[in-house]
Amino acid sequence: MTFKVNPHLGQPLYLQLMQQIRHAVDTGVLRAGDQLPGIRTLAEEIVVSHNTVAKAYSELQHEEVLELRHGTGAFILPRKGSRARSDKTLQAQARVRALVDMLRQEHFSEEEIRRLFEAELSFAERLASRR
Amino acid sequence: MLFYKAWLESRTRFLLSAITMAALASLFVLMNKDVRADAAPHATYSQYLWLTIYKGYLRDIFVVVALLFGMGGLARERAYGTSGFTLTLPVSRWRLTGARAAVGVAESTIMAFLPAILLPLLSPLVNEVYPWPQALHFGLLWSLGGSFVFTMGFVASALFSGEYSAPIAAVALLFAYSIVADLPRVEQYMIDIHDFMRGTGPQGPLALAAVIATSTMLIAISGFITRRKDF
Amino acid sequence: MDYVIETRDLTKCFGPFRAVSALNLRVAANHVTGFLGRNGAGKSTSIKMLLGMTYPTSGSGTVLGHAITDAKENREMRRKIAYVGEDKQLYAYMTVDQMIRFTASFYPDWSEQAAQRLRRQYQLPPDRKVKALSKGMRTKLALLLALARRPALLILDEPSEGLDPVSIEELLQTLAGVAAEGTAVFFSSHQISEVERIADRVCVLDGGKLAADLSLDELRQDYRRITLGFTTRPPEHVFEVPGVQRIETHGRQVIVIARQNTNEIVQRARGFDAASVDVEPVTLRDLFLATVRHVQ
Repeated sequence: MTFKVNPHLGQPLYLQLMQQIRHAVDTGVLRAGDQLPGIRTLAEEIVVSHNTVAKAYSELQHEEVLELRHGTGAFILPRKGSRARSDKTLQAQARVRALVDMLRQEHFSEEEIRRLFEAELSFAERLASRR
Repeated sequence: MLFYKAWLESRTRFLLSAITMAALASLFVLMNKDVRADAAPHATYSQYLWLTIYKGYLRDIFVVVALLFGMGGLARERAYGTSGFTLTLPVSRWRLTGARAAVGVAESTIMAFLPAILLPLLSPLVNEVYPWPQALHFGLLWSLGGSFVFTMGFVASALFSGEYSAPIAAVALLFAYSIVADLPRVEQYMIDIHDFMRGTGPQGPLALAAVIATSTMLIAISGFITRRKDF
Repeated sequence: MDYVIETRDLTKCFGPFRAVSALNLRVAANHVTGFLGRNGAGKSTSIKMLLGMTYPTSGSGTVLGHAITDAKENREMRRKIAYVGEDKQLYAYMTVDQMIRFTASFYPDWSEQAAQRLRRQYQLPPDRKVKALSKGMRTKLALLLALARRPALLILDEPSEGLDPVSIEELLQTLAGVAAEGTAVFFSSHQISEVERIADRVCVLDGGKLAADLSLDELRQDYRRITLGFTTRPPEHVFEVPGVQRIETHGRQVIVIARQNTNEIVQRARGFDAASVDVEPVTLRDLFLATVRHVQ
């Protein structure tokens, strides 16, 4: 399993990594018991600072998504209602797909659609976090 | 390992110079009949050797070579781009200076003793005799004198970093010294290293000590210059 | 926070020219820190002062707790750190093997096993003279000599200069791996794309002064570039809110780069009937250019 982070997204790399791991778990690509590489190995593989990987693993461990076993790496934990969670994600994905198709039919470009989504998300984030 | 590095750096020029000196010294011995007939028909064997080697050509070559042995060092390394590596080794700059100086002095000394060994050794091949004590005495004078000239080159290389500016400065320094040492008023106070090496200057223990002291001082000066330089 | 490098008002003047001016640099242990700056900003000079190659005009500093201006302490410190310089030149007349043996003799914590493993990994022929190595191979040899021990700090000056993309990728991977094993990495570069991938923190040097010192997580999380379009031009000072780094006006467009209070700025813009509001992240390149490119 490998990941790719983008330094230009305006989101810390460790958060991106966490999202990608969570997404993989939610969609069932990563299952309980699967092993993720150790911190050093993953850092070298995706060419990021080990602190990025360490932070991501540490937060996910805190969220009980995975468990760090000293020396061997990280193991995905079974989640309560995990089946329900990945179903929810798949449903959400279907709805977004439908909406995007609709917007495309109305001749919105990919770029415009992306901006519309981002504008909504940024607003919400800002209102919530009071930065 | 600093000695090893200084050796590797200088080994080519040392070997070439040593081979040249040995070859020339040998030639002067082995071809003495012909050369003597042309250049010094009335000289004895010893006198002839003194004229050609200790006073003449070979001495001049030895002086130039000893001077150029002083080239190198951190200033040159900076031009090659290795000074960063050398200076970040966990050794003091004094050790770097000392190692290069020691290897240079050792090399000039070996060169100095080449004729000292070859002359008595090869002379019987042409039915002549050259006394060992005399040869070794000259070996001593040449090794101290050669080391002195070496340290002149060494100081020049600490001051100048150019591929050409360092040797030119070294030669200029040697010239300036030679001229000053020949001035009538200075003659009595200063040892002329050229006379020293020819065996016609002061040779007592005091003279030997003075040459050694001056050479040591020149190395110390180079060490100070290197120590305080920004690289 | 443990600091492996700390300087206090470190200054270097070459005659009237101030190459480094009152530098207060702090580099954290266990992190990868990038050192950015234009050519001639003073990065190399700063690094040379840390390593005892150049003597500061004034100011002080410590590396691993050792005073950089004391010759003996600096030497003691150099035993525990590794440095790969800009030049990446090694002794041309030595072979790879000779360079390894030579360097090993100075460091008590040298691991011959690690050296040979790296030599095989980097595919460096032991009997080849340094002068016959390509630049990429020379860089690898320089890295080998630095990493055959476990230095507490690795300092690199423009490590990717002159390397092809594959070698650069391998270099970055090596740095990530080394950092994961506990070596703090401090490297100067003007390749922003490399720094932004593996660095945790970035220090920007401009005209000999420290112009920025921040964590990349912070940059990505908090810094925003807000592009506002107006039909009539509002006064710039409206947007002078705490946290604003820079305000640029281009006709009826105002661009604000802010470290915080993005909301506040957007509210004020809407208060002035902004025709368009675009909030975007600030990339490291944006920040760097904004920091060092001085407004005419």
